[in-house]
Amino acid sequence: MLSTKNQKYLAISLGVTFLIWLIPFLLGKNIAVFKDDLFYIVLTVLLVMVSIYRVVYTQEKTLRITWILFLISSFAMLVAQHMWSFDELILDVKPFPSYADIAFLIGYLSWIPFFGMFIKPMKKYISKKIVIIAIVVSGAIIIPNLIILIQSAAGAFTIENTLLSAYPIIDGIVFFPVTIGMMLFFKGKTNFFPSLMFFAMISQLIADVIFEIDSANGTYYSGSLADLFFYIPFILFMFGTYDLSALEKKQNVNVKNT
Amino acid sequence: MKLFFSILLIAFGIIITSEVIGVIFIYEVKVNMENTILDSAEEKNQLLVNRIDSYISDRTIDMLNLVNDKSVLQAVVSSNADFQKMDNPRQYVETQNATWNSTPRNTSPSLMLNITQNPTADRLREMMNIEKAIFHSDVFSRMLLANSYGAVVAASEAPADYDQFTESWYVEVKQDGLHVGNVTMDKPSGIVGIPIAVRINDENGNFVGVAKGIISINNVFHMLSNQMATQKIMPVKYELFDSKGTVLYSSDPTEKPLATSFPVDFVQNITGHSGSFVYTHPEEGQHFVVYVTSNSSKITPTGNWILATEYDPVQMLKPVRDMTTLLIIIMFVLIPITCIVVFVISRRIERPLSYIISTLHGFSKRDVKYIVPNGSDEIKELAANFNQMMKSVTESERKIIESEGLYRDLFESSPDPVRLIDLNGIVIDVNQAFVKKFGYSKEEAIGQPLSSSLVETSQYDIQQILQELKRGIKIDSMQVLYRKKDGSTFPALLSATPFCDSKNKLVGYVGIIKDVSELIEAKTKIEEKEATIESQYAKLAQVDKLKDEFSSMISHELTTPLFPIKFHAAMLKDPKNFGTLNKDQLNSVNEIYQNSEKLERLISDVLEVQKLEMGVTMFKKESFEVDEFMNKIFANNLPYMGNKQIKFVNSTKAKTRITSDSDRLGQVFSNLIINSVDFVPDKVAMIEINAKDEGNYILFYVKDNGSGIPKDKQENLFKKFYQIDTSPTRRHRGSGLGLSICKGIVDGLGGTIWLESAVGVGTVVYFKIPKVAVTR
Repeated sequence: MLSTKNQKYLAISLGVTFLIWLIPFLLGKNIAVFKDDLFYIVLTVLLVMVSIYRVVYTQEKTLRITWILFLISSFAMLVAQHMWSFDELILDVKPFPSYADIAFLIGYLSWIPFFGMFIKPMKKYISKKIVIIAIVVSGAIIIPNLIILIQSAAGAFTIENTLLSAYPIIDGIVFFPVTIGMMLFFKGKTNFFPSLMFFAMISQLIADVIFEIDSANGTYYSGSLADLFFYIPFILFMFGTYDLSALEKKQNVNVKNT
Repeated sequence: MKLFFSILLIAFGIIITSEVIGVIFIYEVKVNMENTILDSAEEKNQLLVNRIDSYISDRTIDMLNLVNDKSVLQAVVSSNADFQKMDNPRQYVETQNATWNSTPRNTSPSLMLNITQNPTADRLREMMNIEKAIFHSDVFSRMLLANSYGAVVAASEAPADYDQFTESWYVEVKQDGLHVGNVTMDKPSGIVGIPIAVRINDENGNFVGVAKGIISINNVFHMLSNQMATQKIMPVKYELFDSKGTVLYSSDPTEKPLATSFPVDFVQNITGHSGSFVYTHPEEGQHFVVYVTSNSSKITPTGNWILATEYDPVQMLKPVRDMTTLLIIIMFVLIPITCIVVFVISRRIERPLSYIISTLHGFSKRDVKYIVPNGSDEIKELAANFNQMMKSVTESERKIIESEGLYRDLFESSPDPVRLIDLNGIVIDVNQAFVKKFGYSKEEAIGQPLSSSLVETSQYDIQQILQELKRGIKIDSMQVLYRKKDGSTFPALLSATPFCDSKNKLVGYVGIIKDVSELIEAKTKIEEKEATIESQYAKLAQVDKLKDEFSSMISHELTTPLFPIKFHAAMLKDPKNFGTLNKDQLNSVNEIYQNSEKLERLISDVLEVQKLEMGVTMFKKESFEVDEFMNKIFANNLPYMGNKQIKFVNSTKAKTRITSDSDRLGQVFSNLIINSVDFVPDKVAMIEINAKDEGNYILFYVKDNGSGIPKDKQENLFKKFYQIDTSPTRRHRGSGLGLSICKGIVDGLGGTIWLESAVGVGTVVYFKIPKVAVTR
């Protein structure tokens, strides 16, 4: 019942998010940048809030550590996004690369142990075949970006180019547990809302790749297409996290009742 | 948990709102600061660029001070004296100038030609060093002195030409006393600078020569840099332009010139203007540029100076950055603190609330445990209230159970079948009477549709009943034909009422079934008897009619022979006709006559009654005075009082008119008075008549002090042939038609008649007649 209700809210949220991206995108770059910076502040604060809520109400110790990792990631994103937005919005300083990227990297790196621990309870369903597929997917993301990174380092080494490749590479690493999680979902071993955490990463990867290409071409600006795919993970993370909280609470009640 | 989330949501909402407000505030500060900074920079730069001219003026004064130096003046005067000794000094100068650049300086043939290595040249260099010491930079890149013949007397460095006489600046200085040249490159030294020259006069004011120096443009910039440092103006880069927009100096020539840094026609925009702009480069971010043009310079022929300065926005907006950093720090401190505070607060509220909720949860399952108040005062109060509520609920529940039991008993013990129907017409409960009457068990009856116990002809009615019940209309005693389980049917009266839940929402109907099969049977019998009675009544009416006709006919037939009997009796009584009769004969004849009269009256009365009953009596309508009428009645009836010595009184005082039939009224009075005369005692008898005005009516009455009439006899007095005393020995003889006739007349006149009587006291007969005649 709760999940059905949340599915409706999820659909509405995604629709609203799309409109929030689309309308300023159509209205012009300046408006898009302004909206983008403010919207990220709201999104990151909400994600942190839901993450805290999740940590506070997770009873089991290992699970709590998992969610603390997610909270760290969310908080790092909050810090990063604030720095980015303030640089861009107030100081009119080009926010990439900047100190915000340190926070972004912390956030990205936190996802690796988080997703690892997230799929750990399902390890009995993880076959060798799934692991191999996950390695292949992960490798397919990492290797091209690694090549770009090496080539970039061999030529004119810049922090900007390094970072542009670094994000997809970290995505590639994160995609190892994420691919496993998604395969388990399609095999019916996980529910819809926990799987949102995995689907969020697909959007994140797409966003990072578009960002990498646009930045290399000098066509990226806050509020452009890449940001639509950056918004979606926040929404999916929020719903995944919140609904998991609700499910866990329900389970606790059931356990208590039995 | 929801509480925590809700408080957290509110707290974060406040944080986000505060942050957005903070961002807007800082942004406003930034914009204001940008404007302030640019305005301030423009103002300062304006002072700076204006200072260039005054700086040049200052250096000119320095030059004048130099030429006033005695050794310098002496050197020039001395040189002029040497040249004066020559035959053609100008030719000498020109000759020397022709070979000037090819002749080694240290082998100059004359003292005059050794211009860089003489005491005056040393003095010039000394002066340049002094300037350098003062300004920490080469102020004059070169200096020279020339005599009145244009020959160079002394120079800090060898000039390009020996002869200065034909140089435009020399001519200008000789004439005007001062020359400030364009910014140009000094050919021998390759230094870009501003040449300045002053005239040298002797003590008498006579022209003796010129002094020229070249102010290095670097020194001007050095001066500008010093001034900027002094005024704490820290540009990233600055460039000096002449009035035509030519770059004279760039603080950092290795960087891209400002003119090519912006996608605007920079030079055209800044030439002759002062102002500032902020340019945001997609890659590099913001550029703050301030440009100022000096105020109408008259010192240099090149005109105004233009200074363009670019500032580092990061450095300029450091306070803004500091504010944003502070905001970020506040946010990152505030968020965890908020979370902790919210967590603590929500825990403080949630824990006791959870305890209360679990207790209430148990209470909902009839596990009544009262809450031990714990937590804040509000929570304690809440717990106390919940305890009170649980007590109340428990008590209410007990009462409800009792009440429910009572109503259940009433329901079950109802002698009539009762059943509860839901909105879809399905039976949800029945009582024992229903079970007994219909033969279904409770289990069988519950869940059945309403129509299952109805005969087909009643099902349509029931559908209508249901529709009415849905509209909230109660059904009262509607006849329906039911079918029992065994198939037999019985008629019943159905009364149904909608019943609602606690929210007054219609949930079903209560139907009470009253078996009326016995009543219907009884009714049938009654109807049969009523039919018999009606038939008999009709027959009786027929008989009565026949009787009336018979009476009428008999009365008429009796009257006809009575007249000759009475006539002949009267003839016999009169001795003139048939002679005198003896006493016995006379008595017999009198007896015949009197009885004939009685019989005639009786027949007359019978006929009168008959006419009145048949409604064929005619009434007159005449107007008359009541008191006169009463006097007449009194007079007419006074003769009846004689035998009993009755006190006969007319008490009428009413003086009013009435339209009625006075004869008939008189007939009524006669009947009533004769009756009274008959019933009053022999002694102390009294009869009173009266008429009173009562608005639209006249009330007449006849009052006597007769024996009175018992209550049980009074109601039949106005019926025909009614006698109070019907015994064979009764004292009062009469036909029993008098009062009946009175009633008939009074009714016919639109009035009413009644009496009041008490045994041993007397009787009063009242009759009320409308003043205006009414035809009935």
